[in-house]
Amino acid sequence: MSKVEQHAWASLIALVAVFYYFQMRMLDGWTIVETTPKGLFSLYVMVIVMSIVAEGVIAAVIANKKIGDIEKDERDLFIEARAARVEHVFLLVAINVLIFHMLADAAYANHIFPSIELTDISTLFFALFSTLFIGEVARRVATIFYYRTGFVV
Amino acid sequence: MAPGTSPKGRVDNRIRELRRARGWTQAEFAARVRATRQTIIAIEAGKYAPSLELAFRIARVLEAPFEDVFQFTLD
Repeated sequence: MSKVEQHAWASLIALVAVFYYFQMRMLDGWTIVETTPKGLFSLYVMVIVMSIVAEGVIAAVIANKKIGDIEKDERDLFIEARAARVEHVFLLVAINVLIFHMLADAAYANHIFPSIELTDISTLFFALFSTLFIGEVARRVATIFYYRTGFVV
Repeated sequence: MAPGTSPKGRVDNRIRELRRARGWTQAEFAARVRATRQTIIAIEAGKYAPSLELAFRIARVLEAPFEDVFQFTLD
């Protein structure tokens, strides 16, 4: 297993753990808990710090492992680029879905689509931050998928 | 083939055979061509087509003409 794949696995586990913590703080069952802006800000800072520390520890541990003479080559770079494109496409779709709902809710009171109350700051924060997290998870999953399937080109 | 359409092709190689003839392991060969062992495994299995630069490096390390190492077939 190359260093890039090892990093993707470790990073995926760390991301899911941090996302789980975030969900626990934000959700009560399937309902988003209304939180004060100061509470949201402290949660935001806490989650960012947790993510940075986790990524730093993973990078330090993997950097110290000796795997081979060459740690990263053109195939690793191709896989990284392809996985980044998966994340980009996911974010593009997800942000557009949020924009669509926000505008549909504002423009048409009785539209047929499921309603998301994005005018509430807790919901908006949860929707945007979850989108970012899921995008990052999608990139790691895509990286692992391409390594496991051999990255056929 | 209609004008403007791009042909699909397949790149095959004899790397495993030529590497074994020289008694090199995948790890040793990977170090010689400045690639990871995983990349050599993928190339030998036909799951990854190397860049032109890496392909030339592989042929040079194997001391074989490029066409002896890589074969291109149009589907």
